Amino acid sequence: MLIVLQEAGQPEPEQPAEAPDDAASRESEKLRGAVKTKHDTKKRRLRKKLNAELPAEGELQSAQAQVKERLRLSREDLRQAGGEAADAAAAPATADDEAAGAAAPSTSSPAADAAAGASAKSATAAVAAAGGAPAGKPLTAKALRRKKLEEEQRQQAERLREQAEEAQMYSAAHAALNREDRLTRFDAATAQELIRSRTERMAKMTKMSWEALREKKELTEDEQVSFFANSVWEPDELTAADGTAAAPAAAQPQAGADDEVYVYEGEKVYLHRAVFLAKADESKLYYYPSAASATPVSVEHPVNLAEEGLYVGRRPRVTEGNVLRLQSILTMKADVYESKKGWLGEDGRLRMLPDPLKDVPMRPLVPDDDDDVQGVQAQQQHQEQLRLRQLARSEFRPARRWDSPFASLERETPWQLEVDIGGVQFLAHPLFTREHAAVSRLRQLHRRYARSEKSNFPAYFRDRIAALRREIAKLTQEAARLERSQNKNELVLQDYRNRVDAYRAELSTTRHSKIREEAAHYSLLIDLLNAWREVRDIRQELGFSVTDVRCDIEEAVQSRSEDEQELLAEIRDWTEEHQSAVQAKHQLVQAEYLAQRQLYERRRADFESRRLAMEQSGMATGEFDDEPPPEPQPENVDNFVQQIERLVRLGEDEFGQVTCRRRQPGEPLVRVRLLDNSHVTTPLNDIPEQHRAAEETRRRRMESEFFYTIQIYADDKLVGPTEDVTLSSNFALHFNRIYLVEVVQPPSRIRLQLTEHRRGGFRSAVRTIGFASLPRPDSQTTRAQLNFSEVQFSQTGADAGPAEYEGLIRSRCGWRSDSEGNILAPMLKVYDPQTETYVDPTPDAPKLPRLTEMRDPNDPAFVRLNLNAALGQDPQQQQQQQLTGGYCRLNFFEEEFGFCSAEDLDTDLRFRALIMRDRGDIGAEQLKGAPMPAFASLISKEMVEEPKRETDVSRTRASELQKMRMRYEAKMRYVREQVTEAFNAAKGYRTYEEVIDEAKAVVVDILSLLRPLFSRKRPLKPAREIVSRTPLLSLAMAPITLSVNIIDAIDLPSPNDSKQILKPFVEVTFQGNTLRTATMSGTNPDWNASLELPFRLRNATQKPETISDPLVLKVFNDRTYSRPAEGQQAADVGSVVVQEKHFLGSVSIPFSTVYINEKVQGRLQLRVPDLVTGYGGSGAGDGAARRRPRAPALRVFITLQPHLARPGLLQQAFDTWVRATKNTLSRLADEVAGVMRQMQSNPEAQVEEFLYHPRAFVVSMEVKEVFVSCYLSPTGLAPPAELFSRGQEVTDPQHKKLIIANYVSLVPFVSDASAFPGLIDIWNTCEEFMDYQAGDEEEHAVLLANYLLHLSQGTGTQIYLALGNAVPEGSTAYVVEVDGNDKYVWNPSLGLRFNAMGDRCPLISIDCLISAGGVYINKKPFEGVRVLNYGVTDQNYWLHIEKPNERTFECIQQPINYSGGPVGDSDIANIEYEIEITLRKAISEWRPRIVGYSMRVGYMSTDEILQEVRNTKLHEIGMYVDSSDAVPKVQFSCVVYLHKYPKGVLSIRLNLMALNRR
Amino acid sequence: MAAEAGASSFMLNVCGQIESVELPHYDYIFLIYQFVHGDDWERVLGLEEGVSQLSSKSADVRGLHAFAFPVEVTFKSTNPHGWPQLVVTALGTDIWGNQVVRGYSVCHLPMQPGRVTKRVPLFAPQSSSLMSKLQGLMQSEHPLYTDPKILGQGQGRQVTRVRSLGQMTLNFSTSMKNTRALGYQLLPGENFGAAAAM
Repeated sequence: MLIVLQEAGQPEPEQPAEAPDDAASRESEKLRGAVKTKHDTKKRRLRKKLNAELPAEGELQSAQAQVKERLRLSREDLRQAGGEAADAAAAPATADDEAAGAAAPSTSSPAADAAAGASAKSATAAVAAAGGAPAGKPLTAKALRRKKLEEEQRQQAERLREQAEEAQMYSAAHAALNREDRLTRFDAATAQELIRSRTERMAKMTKMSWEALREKKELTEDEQVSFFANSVWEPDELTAADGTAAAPAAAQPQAGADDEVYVYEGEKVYLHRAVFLAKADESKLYYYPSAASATPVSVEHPVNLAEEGLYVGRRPRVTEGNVLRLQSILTMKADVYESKKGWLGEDGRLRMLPDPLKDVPMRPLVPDDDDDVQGVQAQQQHQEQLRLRQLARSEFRPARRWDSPFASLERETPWQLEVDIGGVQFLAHPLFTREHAAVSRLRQLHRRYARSEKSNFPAYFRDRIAALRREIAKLTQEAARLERSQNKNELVLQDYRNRVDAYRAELSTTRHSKIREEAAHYSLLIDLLNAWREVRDIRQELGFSVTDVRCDIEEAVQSRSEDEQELLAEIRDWTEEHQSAVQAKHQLVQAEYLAQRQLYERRRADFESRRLAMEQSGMATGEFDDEPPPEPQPENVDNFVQQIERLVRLGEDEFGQVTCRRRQPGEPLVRVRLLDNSHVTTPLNDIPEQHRAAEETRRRRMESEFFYTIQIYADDKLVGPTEDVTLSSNFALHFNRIYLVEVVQPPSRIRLQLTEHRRGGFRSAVRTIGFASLPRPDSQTTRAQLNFSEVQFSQTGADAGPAEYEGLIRSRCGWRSDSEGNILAPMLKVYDPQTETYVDPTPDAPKLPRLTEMRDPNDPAFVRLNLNAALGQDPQQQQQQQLTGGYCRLNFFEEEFGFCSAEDLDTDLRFRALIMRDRGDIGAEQLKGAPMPAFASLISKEMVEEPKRETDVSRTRASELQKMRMRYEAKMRYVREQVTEAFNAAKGYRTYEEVIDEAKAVVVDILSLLRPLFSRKRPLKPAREIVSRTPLLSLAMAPITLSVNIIDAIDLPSPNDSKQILKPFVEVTFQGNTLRTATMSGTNPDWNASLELPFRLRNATQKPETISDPLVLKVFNDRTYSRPAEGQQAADVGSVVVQEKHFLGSVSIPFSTVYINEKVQGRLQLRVPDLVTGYGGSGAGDGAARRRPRAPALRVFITLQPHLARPGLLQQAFDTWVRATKNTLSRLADEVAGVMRQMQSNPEAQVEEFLYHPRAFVVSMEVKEVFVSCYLSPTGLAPPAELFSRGQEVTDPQHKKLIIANYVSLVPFVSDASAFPGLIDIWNTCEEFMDYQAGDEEEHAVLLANYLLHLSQGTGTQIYLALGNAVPEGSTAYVVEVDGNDKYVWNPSLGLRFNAMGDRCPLISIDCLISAGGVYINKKPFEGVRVLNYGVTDQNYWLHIEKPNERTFECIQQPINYSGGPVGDSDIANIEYEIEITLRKAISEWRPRIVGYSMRVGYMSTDEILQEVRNTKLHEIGMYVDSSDAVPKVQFSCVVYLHKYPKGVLSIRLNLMALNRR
Repeated sequence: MAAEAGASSFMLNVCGQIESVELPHYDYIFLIYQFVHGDDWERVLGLEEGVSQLSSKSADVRGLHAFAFPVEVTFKSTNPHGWPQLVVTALGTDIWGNQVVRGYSVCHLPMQPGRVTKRVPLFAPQSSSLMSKLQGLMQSEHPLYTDPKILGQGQGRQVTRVRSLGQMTLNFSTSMKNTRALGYQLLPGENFGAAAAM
């Protein structure tokens, strides 16, 4: 310990610290001063306290330790404190010199030594203190705390320093200044060395202090806590930090000292030199507040801008947590946010502006509230202002956008407007006397009079008349000369005449104008004289005058005769002119008359000659009855002359009314001047009557009580009131001042507000008495260029009488121009259509073009402008229209931004190929898996070729029917494209499950675990094995077979020949493969046969749902009998066995049905010909009895082996897309989805097998989602009446229904399910359906339901559209008829009715019932058709979704127009003929031997009918193997009958017969 | 189209490395990277997928994972559309010792020749509900993208919600061939852009 003390005894610690002092201290002296003075007072106080309780030795040591403690805390600051640290340490030391000296002698020598040791540290502590202060931008609360600690520390340091000083005094003798000279030659190496040595010492000392503490053995709790608990670092780590802390004191901040780690073990000191690997990174790791920037005056209260009169607003509140978080981010990620250190201000808070959306602190424009306003309007204004002011107070305001076409708004000096206010002349004022009022009127009249006098229109018109007359005379002379001359030019002559005419017309109007003007001037004069007379009368009446107006009337005596002469001359001239005009006109008319007359004569002569000829030939003739044209009479001018005379003399018009007063001959010419002469005003003393004098005195006093100011508002912002002006004697206010208004944005208008103030008394009343608006000056207009404009204002009093105040404000407003003549106005940017850019106009540009191009012509606001341009009234605009092509370009730069022109893009093969690939038109197979070639030349043209369009419908020579079919195809193609597009859009939508894989919520698992516990135990229930579904991918590879199980048949027709036994068998045909069952016998055979038909795809990519090949099941009777061979006798041995297949019925199932439904199971009703000759008769031969009682049915089970997964994905995707895009229907859609969820979560319902989609929304032909109820009209649709009036009128409703069902079923069936992979069904309306004559089961069902609805109106029958599952169609649409207890099911595409409860009912389950009022969703689809037994009101079975009563959900069905159709009568004959011929040809080809059938089919195409006939195997009948190979003679008969129903629905009846000779 | 005589595709060679990942929250992670690119792109050389070493975070506050994991790939293309993107998945082990996703990040390969250092943020999908989060913690089934390549597409991301976690530092050195011949002008620096030379 002693050694340490010895070392510590050296005084050096102070000296090296002082070295860098000079330079740095000068710079930061000011700052330090600020800090110091504040602390000095504290220091002194503390010192006093300390001196009072002088520290004992132990205490000193503990204090030392405490200081050390705090030191550690502030070590970070220390590291950057740098040079300043040292000088800051020195500065307080010198300051405290005296105090230290005083305190020194009292301590004992070892203590002093210890204190001297401490003094070294005190320097460091001071370093910490001073380092903390300049860097005093505490970042966090922690930092603040640290600040406090520093404060304490500093106090400690001071105390210690005193002791150090003391020690210094003692050791001054051997204070070896041997290093001082080296310090003067200060260099880096020395500095480093110094630092190192000092660090070493300090480290040891720290250690020592701890040792000292430990040796003391009795530490107070407080000391321990302050030593340990506040410690962050291990004691041995600490020294390293101290080492680095002192290092930056040198000129080179990252000196070698930094690398050194000092480790102390026990008493011995070992020096390890280690290198920090991540040194550089580490140093960047932390954020240190900059020490260079200015110190705030105080941390808590930086300079208060608001107090200095600046508007600062309030900054938005940020929670402290967020601030702390940000601070910690900024400090922790110091290297990342190096550049973002400026985020925090000097006060440690986030730098931010009051409004985060603005980048300058700014005060909103709020109108001042010092103007007092009255009235309701004013009140509103006031409220508006209040609102604005409140707005201004609120912290957040939307940032204001400067939507202005003006350039360079941001300007250092604002624009300057000059408002020149000349003065105000009152025309009415409450203080007006009668005389004043009269004078005011007089003045106004005189003003007008003076103006009229000045312009002197009568003289102008007089001159004009003279000029015109001269011109006319000249022209007529010229014309006459021309006429006389030999080579007269008709055109020139005509031109002269025309000009003369025009001049004459003008002359006439000018004369009228002259008279009018003269009269106006005269009447004005008269009025003026009257007004003056009034003033004079008032003055005379009162005996004094208060105004200073005098009237000076000059009369110039005119001689009456001269006037008379003038008048006469005028009348004469006018008459002359008129006469010549009339004459000229008459000449014209006369010439025309002559021409007509000539024509007339010629015609007449013609007629006469012809009549003569006819009379000679003895024919009857008529008179020439044309009238000759009337000869025009010259107009009588006498009347007109009289009129003119009256007008000129008396001012009377043609009706004798005096319209204008005229000066009469002999009347003197009067001129009036108004003079302001103060002599006129009677002095108050001279007023004769006493009371009047008093009154006048009071009035004048009142006059002087009022003063007036004009407040200037620029855009409702007060920019300056004028000074107060009092009334002059003639009630005028003279301002005559120019007011400068500085604006940053040009105001839209400038408003002047005249206010009246009344002084005197205690209250000073302020009234606004007038407003005037000045237009905003053009940006090129200076004030000097403008004339004063007078704006009239008036203000009525409380009672709505005459105006209380009225007056004129003379003012003008223009931009200011500076000394160099520059106009201080914002420049309007002008759109130049030629360069299509905005240009700054040059100041001397004549007139700015209008921004027509920016105006949308569809905007009604610009109608007038555009109309003007269109009418050619505005040549400028017209010109611009020509420039811009006459259309509005809203997007100026569209073309300029293109890389190339649109044509180039169109012709570019590669671009087209890219687009097609994007659309999916080009697949991988065309590109062969390779990327798109880089150049267009590498792309084959075929690839990019659009798929061949079908030949234009209208051009082909097809029948109407075919055309219609083509149109349907085209329409469907369009819809398909739309749907495909929707699919492509839908593909982008992914569900959460598709994208994210996450743990399922626990609840579901628990439920599924618990469910088996509570379910019913049925030990005997056979466990089902779920057939694994092959994914679609392996479809091409795996051999797939169609497994057809034919179980049995019932009610097959029995042969008429009772001896025969029916031997039926079934033939199954699919994709050209035919298999048959064994032959059974009886009408209810039981085959139980299982047939496996191979199934193949045409190509690998074909989707199974698009395979349209039907699976046909046909039932035949195997009729085998022996008969004698041709030409042999019956008993002969050579008989042959004849094997005939007699067609009994068939059923056809599309493959897609099997695929989509996965299986077809149930009893299929066979499609049986109407009449099978030889079968079905039960004895009696008539037609009615032959009708089979029950239709034959076949029980089958068809499925695919192995199972294929149902294609449901696309449907879901589409649904998702629909849900995501539709908003209007979303509520309903949600409801439906909810119901479906509810049903699926019902554990009882094994719905998967039954439930398709109880669809509430379907896609219409316009590719729109439509609520399904909208397809049903509440009143139904009327079926064509023609159907019921065939033969006799049908009245039986049941019969009617059958007819209608038949009619509907005859409309061709075209499935669109196969057209849309993924089961998207497009629902057509009935009208579309009938127009296109094509549709599938929904369309049929909808039409039938609508018809039935119409028929069952009024009866109790209810009709529903049922979506459900049927055999064999699978998911389909049926019509359900509920008539009391009877429930029927209609198959709309077959036109058959079934009893719903019967065993033949093809409908297996019902998903939902649809009525016009809404949808009933079946809650128990597994119940089958039985649910119909429970009425739709039963909540347990049906869930009702009501159709919303909104416009969107109105019925979309339109009544069908049955008239007309694509099939004409001639077409009928054609079709009939075609079918018959084709059949005959075909049968002869098929070698037919026919028994005979009668068939009835709808018309689709002849090919289908052929197929139909072929299915009967008609042609095979009679084919047998003959021993002699002879062909038996069979005759066929074939009759085709085609019936046309309304709307082109065709019914074809075929009768095929094979006449087989027995 | 004057340059048509030249090559029919351009080449993009990128070599670089995933230098480090800052994921202070997690210890022990490793990376998997994949490329996502358009139809017209073809990977000529380089790994389709790479799996890095397991890394433990540095002991300091940075929580740095240094990987120095090389990424080297060469692409061939005719069309800048569908420029390859690098999708990086950071995987780690949770308290049960199961592998879970710690973060994803995606960035385009540089479009200009030269050396580029990128800092790309990492994010990880969040559970859709509190229950499923708890369940995920229990069963160590944290939400993850079924196919990380979805990150290279614009569609389908709207259903997910993610939390940002840390940063990844990558550097790439890029060289290109034939881009000019195909009419693409890929310049380093600020005036970088594509101009069609017609």
